[in-house]
Amino acid sequence: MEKDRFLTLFLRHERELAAIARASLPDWNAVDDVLQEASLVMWRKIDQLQADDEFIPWARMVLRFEVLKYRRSCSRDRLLLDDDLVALIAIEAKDETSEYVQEQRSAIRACLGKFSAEHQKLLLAPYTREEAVKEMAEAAGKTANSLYKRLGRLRTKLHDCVRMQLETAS
Amino acid sequence: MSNEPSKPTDELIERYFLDPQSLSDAEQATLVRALQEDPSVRSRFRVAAFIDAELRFESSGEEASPSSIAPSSTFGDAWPKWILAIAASLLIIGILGYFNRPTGPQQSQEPIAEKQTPPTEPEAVTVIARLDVGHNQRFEEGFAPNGSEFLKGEYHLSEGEVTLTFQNGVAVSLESPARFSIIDPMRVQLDHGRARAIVPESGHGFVIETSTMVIEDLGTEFGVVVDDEQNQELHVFAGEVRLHEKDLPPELLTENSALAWGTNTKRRSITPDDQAFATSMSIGYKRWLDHSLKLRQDPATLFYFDFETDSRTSSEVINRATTGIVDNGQLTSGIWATGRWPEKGAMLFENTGDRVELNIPGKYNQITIMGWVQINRYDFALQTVFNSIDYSPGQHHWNLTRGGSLRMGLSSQYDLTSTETLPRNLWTHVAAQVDAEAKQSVYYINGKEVGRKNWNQSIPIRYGPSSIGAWGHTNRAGEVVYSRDLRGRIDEIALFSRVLSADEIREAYEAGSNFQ
Repeated sequence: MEKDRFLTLFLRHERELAAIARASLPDWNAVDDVLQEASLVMWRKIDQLQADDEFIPWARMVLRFEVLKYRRSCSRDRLLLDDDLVALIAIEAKDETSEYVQEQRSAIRACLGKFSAEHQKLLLAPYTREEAVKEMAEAAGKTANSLYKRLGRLRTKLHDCVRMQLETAS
Repeated sequence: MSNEPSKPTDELIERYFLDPQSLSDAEQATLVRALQEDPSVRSRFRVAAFIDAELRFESSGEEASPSSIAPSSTFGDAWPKWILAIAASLLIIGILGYFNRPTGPQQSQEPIAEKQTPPTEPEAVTVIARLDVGHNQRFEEGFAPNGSEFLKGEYHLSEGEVTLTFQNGVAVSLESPARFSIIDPMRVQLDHGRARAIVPESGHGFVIETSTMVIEDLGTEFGVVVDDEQNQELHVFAGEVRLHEKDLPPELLTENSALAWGTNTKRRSITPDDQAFATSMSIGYKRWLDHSLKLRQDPATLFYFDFETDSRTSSEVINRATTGIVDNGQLTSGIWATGRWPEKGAMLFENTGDRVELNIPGKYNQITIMGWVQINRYDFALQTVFNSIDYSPGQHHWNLTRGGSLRMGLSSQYDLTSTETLPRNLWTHVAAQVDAEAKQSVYYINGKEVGRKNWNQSIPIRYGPSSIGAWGHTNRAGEVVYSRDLRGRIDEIALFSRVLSADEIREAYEAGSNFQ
């Protein structure tokens, strides 16, 4: 496969890869580091592939290897889940088809749209800036802790909505 | 079969993704045990990771499309660093050109641009934008486009207004005085003046920058003003923009909002003013109006109807020609309506017998008739645009067939049907030259010749009582009855007692064609 096909394929599947890495790594900094390494490996080796549909199984494999490498370099106390458990979670994921990935994504968007603007803002806040949730708490005259609790409940609600949506669709 | 995960486990999973450090040792142990024992908890965990990833992308203003080729954001913190790593590696290999596809969703300016080696100036000869429409425009010498072509570089618009269309479909309208630079197909720098950008899907991520801010389009229409003291305004008319101000985090601005900055004052909210910024349509209207004023004053103009009125109940249709040869038209029935532009009047012919009656005295060796029509339906074998009552020798008829062809004739000389047709529901320019000296007639649609006829006898052209709309003819009882009803609008029609050249007809078409 030509090198210039790589970026298109990688960017098409980047969120899925990020989600896979997220399930095995303790935080987003670790995900970013691993995806950075994995993307370079993939770019170097992309000529191993013949067709576009070979990309995602191959990319998952490269990613899994990079995840393991990263986890080994991590201090143990940073990793709440051990290697066996992470492997178990990953193995069960491999049957998830790209259609399922699309369905999940549509369900998330649909469910997110059902929340009020304020709740949507709160759901996205942890990813914008480190202090965003704290600032929102201050603006609302609440403690950060109470807002995190509410955030946890909102995420559970979002999750339940997504699962329900997926069950209805299937 | 496993049981549904208990509520506390669900919350533990969410807290794990939000902040694993917030879990106590006991909670950690509970979560780990549940994950080890129950596949449905593991499944939930995977979905939670997926949702976590989607929320993170969502928060960076990402487009939702799973097939989107690149993130829409240009700016540092919104670019996941793995993308930057790839970009860096591509740079090393020297194929960053991939990122610079002109039709690509986004050109990255930073930090990728910092690492970019200066290209060997291929842009110097690449046309980035073209003039779509201009009105009385003048550029300073040395800062002017090459004809209608805009390359990368600086431009000074000293008079008039222009709309530029970029390769990616972005339209930027600028009003003089304006100083701006085209940096690349996705970026314009505005140093002074007033600009409005209309950005289609293909141009998402288009940027207008000023000395203190960068306005990044997220699918929208917005206006920017920089005055001569560097006071600035940003108006968002539709969609969203991402505003980057110096030393401030990026901020989303949504539809119907506007901000103003003074040189020494804090920024403030103002009322968005849609009318204060030119569009290609508004520039097109002014261009047409200038041309229209010229035609009205032509000494050969017998009538010129623009269908403007102060009163929508008026039965008088003002003849704007300055010659005074033909009186105003009389509206028997018809509806005062809107023409090519929202501010332009038109006559809507919709009901049986709708017409404007007029009387054209005299005999002529040459005539040109020209106008803009929008046909809604062809209900009859023939429908009239403009005909004399009856059809005596020397009278000229101008009809449309059911199929939309022009069906013209000069009584006792010829009939001619164009093979080209008028589309329905689209404003179309039609024109005819009839020359009794040269014994030749030529017909045009949208400035292009569609029919030509040479005839034998030199017969003077005459009209007398005539109508725009339904055609009248005298029946055996001596009464004038009307048929050939028109179903559509006319917003400009003129008759001249001379032959306008093919160039003049094309010019009239071009001057009136920027209405969308």
